[in-house]
Amino acid sequence: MSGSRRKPNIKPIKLPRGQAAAASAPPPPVVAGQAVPSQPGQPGPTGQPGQPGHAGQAGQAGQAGQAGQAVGSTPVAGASGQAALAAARRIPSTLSRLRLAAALLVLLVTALTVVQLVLGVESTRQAGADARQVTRIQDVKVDLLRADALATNAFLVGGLEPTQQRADYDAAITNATRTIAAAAQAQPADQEALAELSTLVVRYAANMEVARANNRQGLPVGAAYLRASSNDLRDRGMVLVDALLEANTERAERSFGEQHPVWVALPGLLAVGALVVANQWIAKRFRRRVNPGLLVAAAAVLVFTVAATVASSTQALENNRLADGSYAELVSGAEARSAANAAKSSESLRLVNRGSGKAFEDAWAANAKEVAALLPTGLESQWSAYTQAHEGIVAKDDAGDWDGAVAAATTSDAGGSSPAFQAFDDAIADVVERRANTVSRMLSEGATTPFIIAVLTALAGLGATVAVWRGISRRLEEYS
Amino acid sequence: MSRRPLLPALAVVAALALSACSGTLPTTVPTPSSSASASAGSGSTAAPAPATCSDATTSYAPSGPLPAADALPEGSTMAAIRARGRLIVGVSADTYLLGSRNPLSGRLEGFDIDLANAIGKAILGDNAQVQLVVITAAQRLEVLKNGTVDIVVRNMTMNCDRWKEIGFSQVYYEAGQKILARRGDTITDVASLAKRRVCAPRGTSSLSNLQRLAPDAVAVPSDNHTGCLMLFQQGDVDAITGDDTVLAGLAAQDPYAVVTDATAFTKEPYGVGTNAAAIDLAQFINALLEQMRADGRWNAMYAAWLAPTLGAGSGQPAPTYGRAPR
Repeated sequence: MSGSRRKPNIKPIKLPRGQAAAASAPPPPVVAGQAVPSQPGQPGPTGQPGQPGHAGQAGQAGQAGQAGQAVGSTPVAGASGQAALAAARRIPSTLSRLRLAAALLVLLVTALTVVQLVLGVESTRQAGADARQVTRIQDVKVDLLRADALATNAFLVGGLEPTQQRADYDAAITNATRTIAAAAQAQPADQEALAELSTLVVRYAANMEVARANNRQGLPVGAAYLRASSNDLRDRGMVLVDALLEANTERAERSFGEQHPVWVALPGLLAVGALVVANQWIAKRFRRRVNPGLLVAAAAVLVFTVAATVASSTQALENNRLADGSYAELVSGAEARSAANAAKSSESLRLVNRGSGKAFEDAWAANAKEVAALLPTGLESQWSAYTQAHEGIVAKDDAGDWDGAVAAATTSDAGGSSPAFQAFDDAIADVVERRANTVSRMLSEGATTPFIIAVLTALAGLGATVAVWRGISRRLEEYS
Repeated sequence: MSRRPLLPALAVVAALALSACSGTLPTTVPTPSSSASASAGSGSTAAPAPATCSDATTSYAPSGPLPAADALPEGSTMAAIRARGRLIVGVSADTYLLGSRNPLSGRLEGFDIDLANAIGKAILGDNAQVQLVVITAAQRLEVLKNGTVDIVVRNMTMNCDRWKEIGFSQVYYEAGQKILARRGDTITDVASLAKRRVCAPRGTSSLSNLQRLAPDAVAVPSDNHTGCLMLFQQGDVDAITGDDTVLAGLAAQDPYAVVTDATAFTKEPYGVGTNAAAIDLAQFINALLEQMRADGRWNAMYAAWLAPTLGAGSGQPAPTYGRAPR
């Protein structure tokens, strides 16, 4: 143990390059603790001034050990002295292992922090993608129900359907098929469900054409095709759409919640703690309270950990705010729009299946209730204009005036159910689009800051690693 | 020394962080509910033989000549209908030639509709308001029993089972069950239906006759005959069975569908359905049918709707009366 005491002589030469505080007073390292602490004054004996000059010779540590033994053993001698000496001999290798471990630790923690930040950025991006997928599926739902509402309504008029209604139907089917293709590309996990939905839409559109062709020839089988394809769409089609909505809403919510500030903070804090422990260990043996390298590294780790944690928790808060705010509004607006279109479709089917409209009226009422619950503010008057027109149709039909009811359901005059509904649908489509844009913008903005912090963390972490390495190297050099 | 256990701990942290971004699970595709397609009727278990009785076509004798619309007996079902201002009739909207919606005019038309309008006119006078309630075949008894409609004129066969639940007028048309198949198919009669898929509407005597007389056939129920024609056109069924009147209407919509030449394998006497308690209404309708026989209105209706596809026919069936009020 005492052997290492020779080194103090080296320090004055080499240390000056080091940090001021530590360098100013080169105290001899107190090695291996208890056994020797009381012999600070002994450097002299073995520590021939000449020797330090030979620094770097491999054999020196050994010589030093022997020298130490010679001196130290005089009074103490025996087994304990032997053990203490052995411990002292291990110091350089322990120190170099410590250097490696500390450097690796700082690197690892840096990597962990950076990875978590990148994962956070990635899940924000994923949340955006999931949210966009939810709106895509909502769009498909609206388009399909709107197509169905238009087709069933046109059926009431007879074979000669209004050109505009026909064009709107075609546009709705085209939009739906395009959106399905885009959705399948955007989320491979949805492909199986979307493939079936796509098949269903093809079948729906084909059967609707058969219905039309028969209808134009005055053949009642056309109504069977209309009813069958409408049922297919509203049953199986909506089951698929709702399964897709559920899956994607769940994914979006999970992605929104994928910020874990605690986990971001943890590795950094542990590393700071470890660096402090390392510093204490060194301090005990080298009589320097602070190792400048370790200090710099701990500070750097602490700074980037705080920055990363702040970034992560800001993102978490931001995501919560978005999920409960604009995104929730977007989803409810889209829900309201599809429920409204389903209601309009039920209104026509009630008349197509004249007299047996009870089931369709119940469906209308359920949808209308959903619309009322989710209605975006500002659209109340448009919606109530439509529901009033609808009640007029129901009153006529219930009183046995089916022709009057059909006229009211199909007229394009103001006050009719179709123009009133169109006005509402245009208005709510507008609201939903604005909300979708807001969500999209907020999500793309949110990813920038954490990304910058991730880059800075990487740089700071590399710097801290270098600082650790050099800080411990200083101590190690005392042995060379 | 002290940092040795730290490394595994950090590895755990890393693993946790990475597992958070595990792969996206595929969207579950809900399994389709075993819908009312083939499975529902493919059991092909022979339906129990229908209750037999000798008076399935026996109705209530009219209580006298048809009263004028403005002289209906007080307290009668007809007077109540007149007081309400409209007659509510359960009809079909997709049985071509009997009761179907003309897509061009949007109106219901056919033999049954004309009869319903004639009854409406007899009760309410000229410009009678007749509310046509479109019902499926399976709803026919239900709507009469719960009073949703006053009468059902929807090619409904009179039989013993139905007499237990509702009332009927006299026979207003004598139909028979036949088979419709693809042009050139080997299907000719009931015997040739074995192992073939045959469609008939739910809740009809056509379906139970099929299950009873052709137990080897795969019965495929549909909501109505037009639905059967759609299945037929889409290749889901090989044949449709039903009354000759109905099949004639289906064949008229599809040049590749033909009614086979085999003679009808059942008799399907059509009656106007009433609530079981409305015996006065059944009597009233019977008197009206007698009047229509006498003034040639029945023949005119037949000529307009059914003669073009069914030929001259055997004319309005003779009534059988003598049912005692229950």
